[in-house]
Amino acid sequence: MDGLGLLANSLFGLLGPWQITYALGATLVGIVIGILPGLSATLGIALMTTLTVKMTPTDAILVLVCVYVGAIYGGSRTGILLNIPGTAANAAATLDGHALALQGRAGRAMGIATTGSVAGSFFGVLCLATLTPLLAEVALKFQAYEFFWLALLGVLMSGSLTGNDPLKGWLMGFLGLLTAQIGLDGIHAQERFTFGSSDLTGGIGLIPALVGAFGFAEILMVMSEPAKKAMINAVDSVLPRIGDVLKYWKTILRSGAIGVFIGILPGVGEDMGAWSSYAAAKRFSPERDQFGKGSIEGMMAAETGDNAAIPGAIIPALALAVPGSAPAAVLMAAMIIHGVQPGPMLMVNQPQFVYDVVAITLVATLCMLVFGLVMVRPLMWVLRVPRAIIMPIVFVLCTLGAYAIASRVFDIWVMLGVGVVCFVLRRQGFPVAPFVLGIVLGDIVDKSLRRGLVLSDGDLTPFFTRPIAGVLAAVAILTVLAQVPAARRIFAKIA
Amino acid sequence: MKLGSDRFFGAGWIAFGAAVLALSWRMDRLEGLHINPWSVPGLLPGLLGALMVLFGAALYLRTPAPDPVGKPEAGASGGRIWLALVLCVGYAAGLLGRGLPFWLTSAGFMFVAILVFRWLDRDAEDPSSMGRIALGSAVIALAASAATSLLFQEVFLVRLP
Repeated sequence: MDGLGLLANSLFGLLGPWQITYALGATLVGIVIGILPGLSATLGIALMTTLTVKMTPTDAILVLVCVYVGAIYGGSRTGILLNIPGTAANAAATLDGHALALQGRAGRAMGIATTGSVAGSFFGVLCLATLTPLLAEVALKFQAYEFFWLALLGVLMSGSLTGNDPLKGWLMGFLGLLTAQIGLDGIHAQERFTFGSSDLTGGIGLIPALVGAFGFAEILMVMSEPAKKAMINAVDSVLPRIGDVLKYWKTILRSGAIGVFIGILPGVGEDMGAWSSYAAAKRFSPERDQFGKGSIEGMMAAETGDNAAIPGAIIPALALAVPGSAPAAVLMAAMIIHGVQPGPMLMVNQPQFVYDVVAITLVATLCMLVFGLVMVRPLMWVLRVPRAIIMPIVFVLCTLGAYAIASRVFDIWVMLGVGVVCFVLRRQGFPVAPFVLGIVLGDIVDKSLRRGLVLSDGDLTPFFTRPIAGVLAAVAILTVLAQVPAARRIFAKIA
Repeated sequence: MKLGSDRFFGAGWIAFGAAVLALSWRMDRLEGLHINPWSVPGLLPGLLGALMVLFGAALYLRTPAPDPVGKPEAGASGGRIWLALVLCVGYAAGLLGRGLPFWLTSAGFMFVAILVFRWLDRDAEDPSSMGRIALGSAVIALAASAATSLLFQEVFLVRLP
């Protein structure tokens, strides 16, 4: 009952004219970011973090969550019309979405995208409201040992699942963890890897690093390839249909549950939510031979899964301070910038904020529905703007976004340096998401490891014998061993 | 090609990890402050350096994956990459903060970048004369520069570089 009262209070607080304007404007910006290939939800949130620094925490998070939800939704447009997913999360929906467009049913595909996204997001909001307090209560029992394994597991899982090569993903995760160690250490304020530079003493800023990894690196990736002519034809009715919800309610519920579960897993993200939901729908569907050829059920599953993963990814960010995806990592960093400390104590110290986030995600979902109903056709002009025009403008925004948080020219150099390194590594198959998770979780891993060892006086046993720490340690070790051929052979023999 | 690049990058990770390990080992252990030895600042960086050496060695030694997923996209051109790199780094590291007004520097960068890449991508656009492309690029660059300058300077009160 307390929770419902807090939620009602939060919803009432979002009914002001400015809040509605922020929500609609930010969702629209998010949709445009999602539509533009090369611009990701992570970059959108990172850039908007800069612009929202002077807002109140709730207004700032309102803007950022709306950009997040809008971007994941908007990316399906590009996938349907151009066969290029606007964001990685829309790759699964592109399979059937573009097939429907080739059959002259692009509008129908967009309607399904709206239905699936809204249904998935609503399901996710319900889980966000109910699971966050439960998880936070469990996490109150966590000590340094559990936080060490949880944060390390986030980096390892992100490395295993976000790229195609776990070894490269883990190396990127370690690089991110190391990047977070630059500057003053969190326990003794001792300088690490500063080489006498006063700029490095302050550490590598998360936002400049993120803008470099997801902005500059992506701009270089996009600009390195010749543009292809956009073929956008007239589309049929784009309105979502209630009949689709009634017909595919089982798929929606299953995909919503899978999306939320994948979202909660540390560092995995929306794209895996979409692919897992798509795979499950294909397995259980009587029309599985239609998947990939324009299946409405397949498209519904993918879009429900990726949007349900958004609130799912916010759950551990709020309750454990371990984000479920790269965009949620930036969102969590933005909360910290605004003086909100996510983690188990958030539910104790600022329970209203948790329900603010639930209400904000609900409002973002409603805004997405509004734009899905009225702005589909006008938004298609965005696809006609040549990327040669968009990318230089985005680069100027990236430069300003990196600089504006602290007004330091050094942050522009960080953005450039991280961007070039990530560009080179991405071209060799090294994924960027584990690097970002590593930067966000580096401080927790470092402090938890040293605090745990101090508490146990150097004894490693509690890292493995405490019940939750033991389970997390086993999962983390198995995550790595499962990729070692010799270990896999042993597991197969045991099975 | 994949094997070669994995070996090259594997060797790079080994060298980088070894350097991190060495720097962590030499990091001040604050013995003079009588801190708990398990809380030395170089502990995690040293472990990460060791893990990079280990995993870098695995990357160096392993058989290449059959699916070259990390391969650059077909059509990616070295010339375009260098052009984008020179323009972006030249603007952000070479011009910004050197005394020129932000709006002028940004407008100049956007004009050149938009013009050059629209010309390179001219096959993907509707046919248009070079003069029209140049005029359009100049208008867009000036408008975008003015909008971003005003937004950040006047609305968000950022002192522009």
